[in-house]
Amino acid sequence: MIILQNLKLLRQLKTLCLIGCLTMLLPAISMAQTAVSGTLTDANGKPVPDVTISRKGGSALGTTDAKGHYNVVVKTGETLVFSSTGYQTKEIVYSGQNPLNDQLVVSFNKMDEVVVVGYGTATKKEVTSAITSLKPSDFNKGSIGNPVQLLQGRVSGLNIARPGGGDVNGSFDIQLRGLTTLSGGQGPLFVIDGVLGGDLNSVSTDEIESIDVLKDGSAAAIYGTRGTNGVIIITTKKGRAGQHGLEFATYTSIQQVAKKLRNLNAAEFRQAIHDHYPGRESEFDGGASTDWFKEITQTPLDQYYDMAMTGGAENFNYRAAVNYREAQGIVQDNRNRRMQAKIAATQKEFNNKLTINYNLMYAETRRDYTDQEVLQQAFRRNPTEPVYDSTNKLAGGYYRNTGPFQYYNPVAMIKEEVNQGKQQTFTGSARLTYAVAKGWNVSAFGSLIRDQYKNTLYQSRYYPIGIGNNGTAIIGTGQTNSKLMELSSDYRKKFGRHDIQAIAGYSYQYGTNETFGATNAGFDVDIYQYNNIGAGNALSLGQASMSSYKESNTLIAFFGRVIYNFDEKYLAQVSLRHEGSSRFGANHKWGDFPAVSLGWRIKKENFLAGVNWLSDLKLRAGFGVTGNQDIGNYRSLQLLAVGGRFYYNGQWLNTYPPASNPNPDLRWEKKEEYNIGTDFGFLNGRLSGSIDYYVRNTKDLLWTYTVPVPPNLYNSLYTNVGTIRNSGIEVTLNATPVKTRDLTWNTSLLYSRNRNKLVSFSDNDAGFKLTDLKQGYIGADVQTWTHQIVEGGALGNFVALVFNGIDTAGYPIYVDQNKDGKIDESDRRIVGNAYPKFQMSFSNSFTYKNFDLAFNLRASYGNDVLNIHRLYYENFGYLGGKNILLSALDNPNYKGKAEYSSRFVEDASYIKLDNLSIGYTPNLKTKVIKKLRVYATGQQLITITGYKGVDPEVGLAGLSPGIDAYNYYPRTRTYTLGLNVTF
Amino acid sequence: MKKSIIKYGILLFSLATTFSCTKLDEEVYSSVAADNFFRNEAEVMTNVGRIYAQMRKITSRFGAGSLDLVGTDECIIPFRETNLWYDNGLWIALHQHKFDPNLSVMSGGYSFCFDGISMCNQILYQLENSPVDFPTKPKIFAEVKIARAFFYYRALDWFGNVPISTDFTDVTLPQQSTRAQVWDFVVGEITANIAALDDAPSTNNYGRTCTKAMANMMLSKLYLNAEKWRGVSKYDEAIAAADAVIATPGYQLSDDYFANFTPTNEGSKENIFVVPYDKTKTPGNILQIHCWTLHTLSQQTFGLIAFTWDGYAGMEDFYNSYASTDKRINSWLVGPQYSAGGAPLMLNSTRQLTYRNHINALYNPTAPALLDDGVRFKKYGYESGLKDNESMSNDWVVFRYADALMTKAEAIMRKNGGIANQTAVDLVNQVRFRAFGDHTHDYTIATLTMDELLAELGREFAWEYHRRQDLIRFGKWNTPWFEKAAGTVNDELYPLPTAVLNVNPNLHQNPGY
Repeated sequence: MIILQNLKLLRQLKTLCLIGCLTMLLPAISMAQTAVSGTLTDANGKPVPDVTISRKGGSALGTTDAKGHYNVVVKTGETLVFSSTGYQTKEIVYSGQNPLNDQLVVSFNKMDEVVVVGYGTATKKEVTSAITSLKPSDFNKGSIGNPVQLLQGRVSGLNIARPGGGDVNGSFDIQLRGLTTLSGGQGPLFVIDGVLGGDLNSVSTDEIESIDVLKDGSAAAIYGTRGTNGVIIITTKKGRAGQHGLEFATYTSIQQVAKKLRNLNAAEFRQAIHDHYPGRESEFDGGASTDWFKEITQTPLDQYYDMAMTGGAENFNYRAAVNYREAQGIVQDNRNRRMQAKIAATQKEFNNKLTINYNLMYAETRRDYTDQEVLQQAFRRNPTEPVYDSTNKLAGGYYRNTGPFQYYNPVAMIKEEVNQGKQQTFTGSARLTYAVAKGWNVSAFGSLIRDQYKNTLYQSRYYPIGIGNNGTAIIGTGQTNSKLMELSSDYRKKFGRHDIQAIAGYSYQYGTNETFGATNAGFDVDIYQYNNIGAGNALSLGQASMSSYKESNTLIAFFGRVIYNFDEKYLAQVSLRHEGSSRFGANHKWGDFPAVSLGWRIKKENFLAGVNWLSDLKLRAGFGVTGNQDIGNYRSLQLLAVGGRFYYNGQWLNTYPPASNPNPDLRWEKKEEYNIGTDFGFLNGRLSGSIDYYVRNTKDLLWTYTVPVPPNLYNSLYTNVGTIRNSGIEVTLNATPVKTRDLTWNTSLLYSRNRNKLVSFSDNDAGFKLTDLKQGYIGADVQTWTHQIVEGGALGNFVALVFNGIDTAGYPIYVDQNKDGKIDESDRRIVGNAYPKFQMSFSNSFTYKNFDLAFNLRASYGNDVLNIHRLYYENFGYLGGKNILLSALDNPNYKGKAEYSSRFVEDASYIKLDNLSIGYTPNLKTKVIKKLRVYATGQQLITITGYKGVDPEVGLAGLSPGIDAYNYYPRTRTYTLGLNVTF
Repeated sequence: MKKSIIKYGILLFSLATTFSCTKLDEEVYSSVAADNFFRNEAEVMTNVGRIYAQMRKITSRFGAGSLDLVGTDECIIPFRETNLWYDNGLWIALHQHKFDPNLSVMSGGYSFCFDGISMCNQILYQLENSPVDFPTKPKIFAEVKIARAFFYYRALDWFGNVPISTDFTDVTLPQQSTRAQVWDFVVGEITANIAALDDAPSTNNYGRTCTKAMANMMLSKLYLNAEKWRGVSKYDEAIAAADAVIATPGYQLSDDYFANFTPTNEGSKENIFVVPYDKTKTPGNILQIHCWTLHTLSQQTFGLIAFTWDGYAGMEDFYNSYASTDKRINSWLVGPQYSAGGAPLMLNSTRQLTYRNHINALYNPTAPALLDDGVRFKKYGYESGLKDNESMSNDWVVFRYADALMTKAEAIMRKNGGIANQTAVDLVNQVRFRAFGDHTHDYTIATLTMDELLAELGREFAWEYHRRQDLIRFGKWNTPWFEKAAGTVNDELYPLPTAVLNVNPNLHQNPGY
């Protein structure tokens, strides 16, 4: 309904435009135009590619190719502007030269680079808040499946971890400037080509033009209830005037295990049994020698092919790209195959007054999921047991031992299960922009994201968990839709030394999510897998299940922003978003999210005019309010869910118990952030950088509080109470230490530190009282918590008994902190914190003649990790039925069991050589190929750390960060060989 | 220029306001909004039925289901070889009576009672305000109040001094009542509402068995324990209430003791109050005795698919209290184990799974209980084919006819100064006869001592959540037994959970905690 209305209005708008513009078109047609071509080179005579040639004050006319060559159509007397990143912008009045060749002068100054600020762009010198802008040359290299990997170690304050290790279907934890919420979503908002909440999976890494990270509140406040965790704006490549060509890219990569858990091999196991259970050797000897890790792993091979074509003239350009990537994991059944395609087109009509952009993206992904428990089972499997036992018909010929607790043959787990997912994601968007007058545009934008998935699983009758089920099939499907409609108008005017730009707009977003699932079991044969789910007899026995679900939500916003500067010296920015979300309680549907920031470019002051070594100096200060609405739908309502059945009149009937207490006061978590910073450049920008200091207070934290029953109906209430504070410093330094004819060296150094504190989470007056939060659960056999959050304390603290060695009898000694003669939870103390004290990264790129080399080091200091595998397996409690860590033998007389203590909370500071890449770009005689580059990249090559587990980099999301995964995935190194060709 | 600014300005404004159908109401698709339900009898019944769904939590291991079992002398959950069952010391603490207000079972047990009580209050409120009228409505009122009384009966037994809330619309924090006040309240509620109830279960009400017999059974227990709970003796009243149960038509002892506990025990003439479970119909709060107690190899004995956990076992002295000819000894699985087909079940190539009536230790990391230490519970029949996360279909027995006989016998003996008379002996011998199939093991006035009665209660009601109440009433709860030291009178009440004290400042902790 809304969309239809919208289209109708748009049509009216278009008609109005038509009439308005036709009259203005007439005088423009008469003057003579000439085709001009030329070549642009640098001072050394080397061609400069990617230079934009535009009419002064007008649109782009063309772009230089890889050989610096361009063709444009111009009129005599017009001023042409040549602009390119890394070179000084040059203006030439056309007076009939043909060819028009020219030289550009290298510039290190980045102040004129364009930064995407959300709902618009600005140059770096105008920016008054903390924004990091990255171009493809800044991205990480290698076999990369997800755009966020491009950013790891490239943005100070942005922490990216991959808790699933090398699982090719794993996800990422992204955290910007620390944890801001207890129960809300922790990920940033992604804006992809203007689509809010865009889908990362459909963005090809080769198609990204720039990534801009809005870090502080004054920058992110324009995104209102979704700005708290930062905003990452991805802009994809578009066609450019005068650029015509075909790009091809391919790579192949392999992975190698860099580190895995070292358990006992068969010989060590037999010896350990002999030492610890003398006389029981035969009891634990399966008679074989099996390397279980080897049995379930492979050498994975990735491959990637990408083809893009692009072309364009002044009034029309396009870019189309398609790629295919197959990635395999180190575990045998782990695979990800993905095809991505996109078409982007831009057309200008009515004397360039109306600009129409279309952007279509499609991605199709097929996933073979690995059950990470397979690795855990392989780790703890007795290495003397064989893989197969042809006499065991019940187990399908696999060796089966049901003695030890939860103990399954990992080879059977892999081979007797098919676990696959298919996902299709379509994103389409269109934008109409009409230039009403000079500097004034009105724009309408609409987008649709449709994401569909189908997950399918089949476990055969020989799948080792639940033998007797005779095959289990599960199908789950879902579809999410997100529709966005935005109307906006922007205006920019310079008068005298004043420069003002303003935007106002309206945004409406509606999302739905629907799922359906079914399970069945008891199949006559395994051949159907999940393709004939009705055939199982569990359905007729009432043991099959079916489910479906639907939810929807709406976000509506009005927003506006004014950016002003006086003489590029005094800068100011003010913005406001008035936004409402259906998720909030009836009394708090709408909120205001204001921001203000100021800048002072001191370098422009007269007293610094003569200081030539200082090329730029700017001070910035900003304040902004953002929210977090990522809390799930329907949290404010009192809902009745279908509850347990009861027996009535000989039948089992459903009941309808309350699923939640109502909370009409439920509202967004509100973050108020102060940011002060400086941007500076020395030696004409050859050394530049920025420093930021921030304080962010998240108030009205949402948490589920226990409430008394009665008077409440349900024993918990989701409500706004507490406050978290994060504060920190971020430093970025960029330099070009060497720039000669043959050799260029660019380097950058990032530093960031963040401190957090839970200021409060109780409101005694309202009856919401928490003395502490115990978080982080260690399950099987241990059953205890690991983290404790108290008011005034830091988040991420490990609280454990303090280990003080092993006594002569072989038992662990713990410090009796309160001297009460017994060791219990009251003797626990803070023994570490999962968050790093600081993080750094150091990236370098060199070009020497036709060769290029880049590497990136990343370091983290002071982050502690709970080594869950040592906790469980660095003792002899499990030995026998199960395998243990080799390191258990370091304390052969140890008699303790699996216990949580400071002993296993390790300092996991690390330095990683994340990326090393070498490329060669030969000079080619042929005219067909404009550019060719071959390269080799190694990822995660070296890790220097004192951490004894697999990888010191573990998941940092949530309230119990820093626990190494029990179902771990080995750390791998990736080696890639690739080729890029431009025709 | 100015004109066009105005023109487009108006256009934009009108566009924006058209879309600012600034409605943000949530559309709910897969749940029911609470103010939109219970408009007819069927919907009202789905509301009342919640009580019985809540009752299934009575067997929850981290709540009600452990409070009456794990700390008694009939059950032990030892720390076993290969690091099993430590669970942060929970089972050890319960066994040793080191009760702590932070133990998960305390809050679980408290929630069992008070979630149920709050639910009953809400249902009563909704019933009162419901415009729907139907003939059975008065009976449903009584039924809900009796169910609430049952939740209070458990709270009174476990926690003693708890708040009394009856009005759903009262949103103030409730005040604490003394155990005696709670006792008076529960007895009053039962006597006031019992008349409106059905006499006994029928096909109509099986599963919502808040019947007269159930209410009388509860009443007889309240009177029997009145000396502990109320500080007064009420043995005549206990006898009268038990007599009312015995006089209810349709109840009798089943010929086969184990028939009361089969997967199809809904046919039992003996069971008075059960909590029904079903393999497929009651997901969520499920009955998993097989998982609690059996080693996973026993799958092959019982034809189970579900993985079982090798935890709960019977205590050595308790098992020894059975005569070998007592049929009830078959409540326990003991000795070398074989598959249904007769093949020995091997823990490994040389060791056969052999449940032995000995436990190495409750907790000793270097010499822990073996995987097959302890006799295992099999009083409830295990249905073959049970899968992971499936409930047993056996209905959990809370009260049965034998209970009424034994309660009456005990009340008579207590009234008689702890000495049996012929009436008491005859009552107990009814139960005893079934256990042996002959009268050679009958008690006499001389042999039926209080200690013997306690032992007989143990054998008859093993793992039926009787034992804690019985041991306390017989003054034995605080005596030492295997891996448990002597306790104090404070141990006879559990502590109020910390989470409950935190949210209601009106409440004070029970003495000793």
